[in-house]
Amino acid sequence: MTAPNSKFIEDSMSFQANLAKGMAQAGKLGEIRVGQTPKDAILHVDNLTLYRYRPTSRRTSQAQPILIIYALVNRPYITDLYEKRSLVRNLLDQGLEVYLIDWGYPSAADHYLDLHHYVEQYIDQCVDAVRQDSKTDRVNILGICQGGSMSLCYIALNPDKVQNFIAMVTPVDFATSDNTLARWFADIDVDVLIDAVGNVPGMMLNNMFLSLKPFQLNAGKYLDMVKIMGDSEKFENFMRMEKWIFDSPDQAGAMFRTFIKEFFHDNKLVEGGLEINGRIIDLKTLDLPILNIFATQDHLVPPSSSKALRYAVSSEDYTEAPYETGHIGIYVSSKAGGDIPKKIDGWLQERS
Amino acid sequence: MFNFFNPQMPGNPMDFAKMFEFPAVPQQTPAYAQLSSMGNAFQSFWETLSSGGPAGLDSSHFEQLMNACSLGAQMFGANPAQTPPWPAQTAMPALAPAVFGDNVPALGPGREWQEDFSTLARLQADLLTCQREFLGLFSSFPQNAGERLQKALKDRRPEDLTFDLLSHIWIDCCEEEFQEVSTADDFAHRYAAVINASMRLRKHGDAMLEKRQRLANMPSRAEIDDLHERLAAAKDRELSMVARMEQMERELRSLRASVAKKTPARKPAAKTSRKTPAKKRS
Repeated sequence: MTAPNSKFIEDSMSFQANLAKGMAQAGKLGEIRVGQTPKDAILHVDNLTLYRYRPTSRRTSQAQPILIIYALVNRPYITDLYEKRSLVRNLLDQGLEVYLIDWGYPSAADHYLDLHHYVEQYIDQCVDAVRQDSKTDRVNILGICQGGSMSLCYIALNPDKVQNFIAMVTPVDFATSDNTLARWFADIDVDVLIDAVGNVPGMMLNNMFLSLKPFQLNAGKYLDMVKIMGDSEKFENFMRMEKWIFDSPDQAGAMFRTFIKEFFHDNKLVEGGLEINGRIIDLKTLDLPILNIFATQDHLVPPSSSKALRYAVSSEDYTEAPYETGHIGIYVSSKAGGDIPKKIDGWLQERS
Repeated sequence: MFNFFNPQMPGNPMDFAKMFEFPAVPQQTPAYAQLSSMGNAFQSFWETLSSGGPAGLDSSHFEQLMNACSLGAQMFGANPAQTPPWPAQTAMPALAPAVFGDNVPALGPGREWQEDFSTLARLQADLLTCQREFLGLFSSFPQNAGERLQKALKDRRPEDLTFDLLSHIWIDCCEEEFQEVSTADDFAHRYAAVINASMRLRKHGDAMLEKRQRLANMPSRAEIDDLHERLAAAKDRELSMVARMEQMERELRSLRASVAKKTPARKPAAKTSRKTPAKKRS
């Protein structure tokens, strides 16, 4: 083996110097603030809070208000990470009225919250609150990831309350061949899991997600971090992402059990047979306009899983919008973050 | 007097015992020899007592008897430190597989506790096995990742390699190798097996703790879960009642609306010439 070249040595010395500088910078960071776009809480139900964001623009859109329904597995402030990376702020800048459901942090007392609580109780109460607050009969729903799957169930049961549906990186078909997460979940005995842990710890799911790309997400990312540690703004943004990644709520046991069994194992959202309190969820009854936004490099929700929505519904007004980014990049990358709100506003204006 | 224990008599009880009491113990095993030695010690004691009376007994009879008793106690979980070592070392391992299969049952109040521990040990062993099998998937990982790295560096000039570039190439090689391993069906099965085994172990541990908490009259997780389940059921009933009430309100509004449509408006009262109000009837 030859001796390391001078470039290698120089570069490794530079790495160490950046690391030392960065550690000094890290000490000055203070509290990491996220979700700073001004908002007001208009409804509290159990752990849930429904927020209405304050307008940022004098421009008013003709479209009905948008209710953002995020997944349960992470915190929704990823949609409003900071001023320059905020899907919410960009939607507000288009003149849209934006509401968001913050699911909160389930406690052990929420162990028995199930799919029907989330869909029939929580989402329905929030939709009614938005309708009342904005004085409109129908709302637009922007469902993100698992939130999109729950939104589809809600719309199937309450078609009269929803004008348009925007799906963002939403899993629909859980049995596509490139769905690694579904393959990993296939043999997990979710009954024993829930019996043992009650609510599924957020850290447990986090570890599973990180295991999809362990070397990149546990090593590569931090090597790249050293390069930006000297830049306080970039480093602070990196730390905001870190905060979000590891700020994972626990999953209510009953809901997790149902979601894994009915969606991942049995794929009932597309195969049929999904019921909520005896009411059948049939996506074929969905004929409202749908905009399906997905990421072509999504390793968590593969594009094939999202694109299955086209054939699952009977909507004639169906539009796909792929973006060359990953699952998280769809809301925080500069390109997607700038383009998506304009696309959403333009699409909604035509269907108001 | 009939000498029941006379070994010369046909149908000697010890022969009967050996035929019917040790049916699961093959005759050529150490276990059989130990059981026989226990029985022989008792037989010898009673033979001497019955033929010569207590005067015929000496210390060796009692020693044999005590050894036999301690061996018997060993078989049922007694402390080996308090008994001669050889029964503790040989009796249980010798007896258990032949007589009791995979489990060593206990009797009396300790039965449940021993079964719990046996199950716990078995679940721990299961978990270790699953972990070993899962980690076995990565036995060739370092070598394969190293080969990928060598291939990736083959056409690169060493003088162009910086620390950053080399690090990222190495991470990419490891990631590629990991994707190769993790997308196989075997990975998913073994990964799930580890999770399932660790959850079964945890569930059983919780159940053992639960029993002790109940004995100590302490609140337990199962008790709190039960309360939560009842709360959730009560919440569901409340929601159902609210939904029914809202439905009834809607129906009532609808009925009122339809009644209002059908009922003609009342005509205003006709004017009279009275200047004073009519007297009230008594």
